[in-house]
Amino acid sequence: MILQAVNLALRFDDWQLWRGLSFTIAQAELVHLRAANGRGKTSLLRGLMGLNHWLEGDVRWAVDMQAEEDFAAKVLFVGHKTPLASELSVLENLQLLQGLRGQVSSQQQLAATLQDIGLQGFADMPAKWLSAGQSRRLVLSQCDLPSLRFWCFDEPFVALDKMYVEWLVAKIQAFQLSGGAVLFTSHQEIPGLAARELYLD
Amino acid sequence: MINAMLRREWLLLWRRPQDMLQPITLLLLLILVFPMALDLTQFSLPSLGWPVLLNAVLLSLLLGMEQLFAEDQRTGYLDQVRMSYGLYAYVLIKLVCHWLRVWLPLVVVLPLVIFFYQMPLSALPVLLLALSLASAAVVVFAAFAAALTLGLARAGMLMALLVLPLLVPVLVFAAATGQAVLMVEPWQGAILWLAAITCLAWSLLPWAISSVLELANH
Repeated sequence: MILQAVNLALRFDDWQLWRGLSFTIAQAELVHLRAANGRGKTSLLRGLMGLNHWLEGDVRWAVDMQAEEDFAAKVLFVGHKTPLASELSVLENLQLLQGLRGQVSSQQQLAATLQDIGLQGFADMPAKWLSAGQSRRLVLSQCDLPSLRFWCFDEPFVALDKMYVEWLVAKIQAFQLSGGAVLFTSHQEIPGLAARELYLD
Repeated sequence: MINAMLRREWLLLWRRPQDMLQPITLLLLLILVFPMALDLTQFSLPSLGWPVLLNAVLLSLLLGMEQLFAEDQRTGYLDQVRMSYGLYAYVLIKLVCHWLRVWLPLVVVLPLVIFFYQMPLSALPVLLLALSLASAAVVVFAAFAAALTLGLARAGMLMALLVLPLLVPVLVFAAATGQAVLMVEPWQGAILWLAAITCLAWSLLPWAISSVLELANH
C-alpha cells in the first residue's frame, strides 16, 4: 500500500464538493482520476500532498513515507504550474528541482537527463525562453530520480507534443514495472495506459 | 535541500539587477531633490542629511516589496518548498538575500549622502551600523506585510499602510542615533534600542511569515 484515503470531504467556501470519499492506492498501481471541470480534482491532489486541509477525513501513507524527508524524496507532485525560476538557466533549474528533493546529480547525469527531455544544447538558456511544453518536460524530468515511489500528476499531458506524450507513457509504464504507483488526472484518453479509473461525483 | 534553496536565492540576487537598482535609484533621487525645496538660510544641511536618508530608505525599500513572495507562489515553487523542507528555512534564506539586495547599494550610497549634505566623515562607521540595523528591520517588517497581502491586486499601498506604523520605533531610534553622533554626544543607548528591535523582529517575524504563507496557500 502506498496511501489510503479514508472518508475525505472537501468544501469550497459554502459549496460541498464531495464527502465520504475513500480509496486505496497500492504499489505498482496506476490510477486515473476523472471528474468534470470544477469537481475538485486539483484540490484532491493538493490535499493528498498536504497542501490543502480536509473538511473531514484522513490520508494514511505507507509507514516508510511518513517522515518529512522521506516524503520529499519518495513523492513527486507535478501540478499545473511549473516551479521554474525564469532568470535561471535550464541546467540550474534542473539542479534546483533535484536539490529540493535532496538529490545531487553529476554533470554526466544532468546532461543525460537534458538529452532525454530533448533540451540538450539549451542548458545555459534562461528558463523564461522555454515553451510551455519544454518547461513541463523539464519539470517532469524529475520523475527519473531513483528514490521516488509515488507520482502525483495534475494534467501531465497538457502542452506535450505527440512524441513526449509517448515518452511520458513509457516512463509511467517503466515506473509501474519497478513497483511505483501513479495517480494522475487527464481529460484525454491516453493510449497505452491501463489505469484504474477513479470517479469524483 | 537547504543548499539548493540557498543557491537559488543567491543566483537570483545577481540575475535580477533591476530589483537591486530600482529602490536605490528612487532613494538617490529623493535625497538629491529634497534640499532643492528648502530655504537653506533657515536650515542647516548637515542636520538634514540623516533624517532625509532614513525616510528615503523607508519609502524606497517598500518599492516592489509586495512581489517578494508573489512569483514563487505563482509558479508553484512555494508548494514544492512546503512539500520538501518547509517554509521557515525558505523564508529565512529569502529574507537574508533580500536584505543583501538592499544593503549592498546602501553601503555605496551612504558616503555620497555624507558628502552631499556636508556631514563629518567621522560619523560614517556608526551611521553605517545604524543604517544596516534599520534596513534589516524594514526588510523583515515589509516581508511580513508582503506575506499578509499576498494574492491581493495592488497590494503596494495596503502594504505601506500596514508597515509604516510598525516602523515608527525603528525610525525614532535610528534618527536618535544619527543625531547623537553628529552632535558628538553618547549614541550607544539609541543604537542598542535599535539593535534590540531588529533582533526581536528577526527572531519572531520569520515564524509569523511562514505561518501566513502556509495559510495563504491553502
